[in-house]
Amino acid sequence: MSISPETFPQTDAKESLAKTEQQSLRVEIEKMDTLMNLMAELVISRSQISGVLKKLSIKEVDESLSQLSRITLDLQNIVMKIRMVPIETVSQKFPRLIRDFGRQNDKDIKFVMKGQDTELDRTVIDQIGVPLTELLKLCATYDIEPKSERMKNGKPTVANLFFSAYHEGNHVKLEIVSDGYGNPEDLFPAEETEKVRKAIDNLNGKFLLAGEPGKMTKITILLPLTLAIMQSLLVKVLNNLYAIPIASIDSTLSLPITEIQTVQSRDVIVIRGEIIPVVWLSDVFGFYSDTQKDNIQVVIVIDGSKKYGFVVDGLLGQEDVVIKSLGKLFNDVREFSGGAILGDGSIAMILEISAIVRHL
Amino acid sequence: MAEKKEQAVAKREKIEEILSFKIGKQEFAFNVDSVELVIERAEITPVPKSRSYIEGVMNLRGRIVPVVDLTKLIHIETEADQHFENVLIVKHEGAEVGFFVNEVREVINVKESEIDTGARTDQLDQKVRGVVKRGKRLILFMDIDQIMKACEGE
Repeated sequence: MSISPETFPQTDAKESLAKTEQQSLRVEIEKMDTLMNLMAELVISRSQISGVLKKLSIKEVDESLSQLSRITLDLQNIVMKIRMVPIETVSQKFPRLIRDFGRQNDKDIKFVMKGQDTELDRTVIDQIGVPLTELLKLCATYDIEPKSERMKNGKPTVANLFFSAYHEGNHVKLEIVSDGYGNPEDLFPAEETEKVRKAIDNLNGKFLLAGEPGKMTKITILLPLTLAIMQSLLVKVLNNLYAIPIASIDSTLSLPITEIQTVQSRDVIVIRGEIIPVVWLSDVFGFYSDTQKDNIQVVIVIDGSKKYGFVVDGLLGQEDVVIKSLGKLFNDVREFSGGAILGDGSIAMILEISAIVRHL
Repeated sequence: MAEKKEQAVAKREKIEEILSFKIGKQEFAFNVDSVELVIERAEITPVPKSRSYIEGVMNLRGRIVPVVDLTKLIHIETEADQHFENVLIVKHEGAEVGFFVNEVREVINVKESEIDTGARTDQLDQKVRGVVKRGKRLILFMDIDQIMKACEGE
């Protein structure tokens, strides 16, 4: 039997509210960081123990060991996920905000949101809500024209406002687009700009404005991924491991090296009539190997609308990895968006596809 | 007379604790406050396209920490075919960097006046605070601020 909350008297509603509150818990981020690091240490210790026991081939512990491995993995996944929160938690109030604003200011605004399940670190989520609200208000106020003016200019009276969020390399990209005046410089009274800029600076983010007069204004916010989980394909190039974001992979294939053709002194392969440039990752990384194989392993990746065939030495399967920033010492290295610590404690560099193909 | 003056200075003088370590035959030192820990060399993952003095990254308790070859960073010649057994982890302004070392020696208390700043060479200049003499040993006392800046390519 389903009971709608309206049928309940006020006191019961309060009680059920208290129940849901009990289900979440506030935890200091620092404690989470410690937990994360301890987790990683646990995983490494587990691998070391299992390595030793395998050498000694003690059969009796096999089962408990594999159970330990399973538990450690589950634990690791949960710890990683605890910190991540979908952008939805801040954006869910936006539609109502825009609707109310439109009504009060005689503007008809169609508001569309995309990618609201994109996850961000809790610390980022906590700080991004206010500047995002501010930016949406600014767009609705200064970019979107009053109905009468839109009509005069031959535009539909219903204005469009988009808010999207998605992962791009080592960033989460947030975009706000409105189809109003298209003069982004008019958008910002000094005070508000300063507030928004500061908030985004605090998050080590970037803030970009673009516009097409008469057509649209686009605000882009790039937020760094200090911590995020990404599905990736682990590949081997010579003896090193690399992670390729699943989101940029089209397919993987193995083909005879003779299938590689040369067009204007560039290596290409033809897949279902499509000419795809070949990228030898060992060359990109400056490795030199003289081993010639009969068959090559290719990962077809997509950058924008273009496909590229990355040649690797082996495919090791899919894994959820935690992206960690490489830090300031690598600020000149564009080829990698970060590093991932794998279950056995080893590190795989995460490929930044767009940077690798840019030089081709 | 010179002795008296020295004693007078010594009373007011600041004493610094430095940790000395060896790379090849050369002895270096960092201020002990900036040294987080010394660990056995673990697996180092190379980072293609990074600066030549960066050997790669290592997993330090779930953190990715860059490992630097100090001799390449400050262009000091060492015996060929160096094999480093230890990594000295430095923490400076929140950033961690590992340095390859052969051997960590000791913590030494050094008076300001014992740091000889006259011996700085052009090449090292900024990165060395001075030379500390201990018997026959000549220890290059490095300026951690400058070393970290150099690591970041500044």
